[in-house]
Order: sequence, then C-alpha cells, then structure tokens
Amino acid sequence: MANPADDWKIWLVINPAQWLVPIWIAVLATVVVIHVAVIGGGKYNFLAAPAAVAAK
Amino acid sequence: MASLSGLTDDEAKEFHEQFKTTFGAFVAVAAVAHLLVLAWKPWF
Repeated sequence: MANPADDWKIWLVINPAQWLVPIWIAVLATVVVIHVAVIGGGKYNFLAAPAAVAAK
Repeated sequence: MASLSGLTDDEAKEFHEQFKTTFGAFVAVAAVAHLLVLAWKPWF
C-alpha cells in the first residue's frame, strides 16, 4: 500500500454516489468557518477594508 | 470479491481521476486567493 498511488482505493471503501455530496458539504462548512474567522479577526476583514484602488 | 463500497477497481480508478481533477481546480483557486491576500497583507 503506497500513497498517492493507492489513493483511489478509498472509493472501494466509501461509495462516492453516497458520500460525494456530504464531502462537499463538509468542505463548504470548513470554508465558511475559515472565512468567518478571517473576517472576525479584524486584520483581514476584507468586507470592512476600504477598496484603496476603487477609492481614487 | 465485492468491495465495501460496491465499486469495482476500474470504477474506483475512473472516479478518482475526476476527483483529482476537480480537487486540483479547487486547490488552484485557493492558491490564487492566498497569493492575492499575500499581496494585500503578508501574514508573516
């Protein structure tokens, strides 16, 4: 057993017809949590930061 | 012998090729986003 050469074998364990959408949902949840943390952190609040270029 | 997921080796390999392509595109987009943030405000 060697990776990544044998990575494909995961699909012999979990059926993507059943688990691909849950995987997408888990990735989306992670993305949302990270973006909320980044925006909440202040320094990288890209929503509040004035668009310097557009301001001219 | 049937696999736990019910997929054959060929089906698993075929799906994995598409999975790698899509995941690669996701990583590429994330890499571009991180480069833009790095240009905006370096975090180290």
